[in-house]
Amino acid sequence: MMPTILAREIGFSYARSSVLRSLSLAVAPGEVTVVTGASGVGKTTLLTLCGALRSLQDGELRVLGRDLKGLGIAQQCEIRSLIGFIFQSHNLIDALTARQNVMMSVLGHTQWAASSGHAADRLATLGLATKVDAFPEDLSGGEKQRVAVARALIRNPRLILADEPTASLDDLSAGLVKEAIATAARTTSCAALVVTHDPRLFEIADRVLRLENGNLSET
Amino acid sequence: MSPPIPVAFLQLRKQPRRLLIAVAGIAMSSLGILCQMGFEDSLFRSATRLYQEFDADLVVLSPQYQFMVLPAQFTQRRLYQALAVPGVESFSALRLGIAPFKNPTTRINRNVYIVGASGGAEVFTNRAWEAQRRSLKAPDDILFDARSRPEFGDLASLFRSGPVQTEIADRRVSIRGLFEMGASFSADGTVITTDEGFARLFPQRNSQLIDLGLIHLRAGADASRVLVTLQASLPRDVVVLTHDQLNEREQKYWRGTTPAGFIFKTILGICLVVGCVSVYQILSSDVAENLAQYATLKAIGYRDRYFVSLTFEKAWLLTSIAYPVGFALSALVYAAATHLTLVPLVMTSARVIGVYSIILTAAFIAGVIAVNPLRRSDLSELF
Repeated sequence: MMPTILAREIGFSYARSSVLRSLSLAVAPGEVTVVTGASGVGKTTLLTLCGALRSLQDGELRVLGRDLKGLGIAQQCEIRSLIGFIFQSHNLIDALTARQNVMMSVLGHTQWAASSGHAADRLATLGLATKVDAFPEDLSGGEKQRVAVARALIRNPRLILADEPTASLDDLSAGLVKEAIATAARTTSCAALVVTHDPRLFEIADRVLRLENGNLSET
Repeated sequence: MSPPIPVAFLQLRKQPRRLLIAVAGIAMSSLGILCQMGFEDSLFRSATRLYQEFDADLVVLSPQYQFMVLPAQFTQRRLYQALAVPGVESFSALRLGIAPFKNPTTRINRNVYIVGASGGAEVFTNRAWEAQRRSLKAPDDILFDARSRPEFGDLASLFRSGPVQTEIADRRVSIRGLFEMGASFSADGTVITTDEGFARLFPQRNSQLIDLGLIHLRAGADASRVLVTLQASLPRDVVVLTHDQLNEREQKYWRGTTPAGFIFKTILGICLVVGCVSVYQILSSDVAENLAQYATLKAIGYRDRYFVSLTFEKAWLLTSIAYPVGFALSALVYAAATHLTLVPLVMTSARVIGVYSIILTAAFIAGVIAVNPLRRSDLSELF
């Protein structure tokens, strides 16, 4: 079976420094891979490359079977629509309720009819059954982050890319987020690449890798 | 494709104060443009109202003629010479002037525009005016425009009660009839009299000099051919125009030579800028405040065109809420201005639709500019 992420000797440099050097990585479907490492070593750069949010400089990177090198905007959008992004910042739209924010992630006529119910279900599994129609301003930080996770998961992505998804969350919220990612990987063969310093997430990891000196190593 | 959530409406509703300011800005812009166009149209229409009523296929005038208030004289002999040109059937000579008219009630003078029309040929296409003109016999007989400014007195009421006599240029005149035309930017009131009556009011004027010659052609005559022949056969001290050309020239004077046209265009531009800025302000604030949110949507597969259409939808909503307000206010201004100035301001459906289109286009342009920062946003900064 083709890995969901297959990186071969990828390199990436900023103007002053090289952050990724001949980095290789394979993440299989259903596998949860956690990447940790000191700040500024290139963890987020790796996520943005895998999410087609940044152009590859060196090496080969295949995500969901597609070579990301030289992709046009349309193909990048297409690939990104198959990925569930969980950002450190929830980025919810203030004018929309939790349910509507989650529904915004549903792209495609065929899923619209059921998306309202699915959104409520997703929110309920993340402990937000009573907050379905609440606006972001009425939610706590942890609740907002859980809405963002629901938004990432509602369209059954084939890959989850998460950047510090549990940072500054209490144990309850962190547990629910952790469980949601693990369940998605287990039940839908969705691969997950999670960048974090939070050891609570190591529990759901199939592998924990450390990024150091531009390359990955098993911890 | 995004879910069927009215994002644009919900986002606008979320910021009621900002929405109100934007709506007020667009409404004021619409009001300004509608009023500006109304005043401009009224100015140009009223400026040529009298001329539009002239019954003429061709007109003869002096090359020094500027506009109806500043005409230039030429000898009436040119009209007799014109009769020799094949196709010309008859003519009417018009003398134009301004003189003080004494309000019969207050005895206060105010300048009135005077048309002295000669002879037997038709002068006005308006049958009622023409019939009344022909009824003028004595040199002191005049017709008075009942829709002239009220400063001339309530002559309509006075006339209904019996003969009205007053003075023009310190000479006694008798109002024999009323016609309805309306004040214009160039004349507060208008009087029609005979050529003899005109000569009596302007004794210093050479009676052989006239201001306009109305030429009537025989049935079936080719006006453009006769015009060329006339122009070639008459001396260079006159020019020959079609009736439409005269009206256009009169309007062109107001649009181009006077500051009026420039002022109206400037006001139009300012109003449009106000509308653009109002829309841009709310749309750009919205994009700036939601940049990370929109970038997140872009990251999960939304294309730029979604945000452009979202912004357009907001621009359309803002315009559609604000424009009826601006329209209603301008309708009030039209009514008030017509009442106060007696110059009719007419709201045409073409203008209502046209201004809405202008405002909407300006709003869309503002939307395109407002959404630019999102196009340039770096999605990799999201993590």
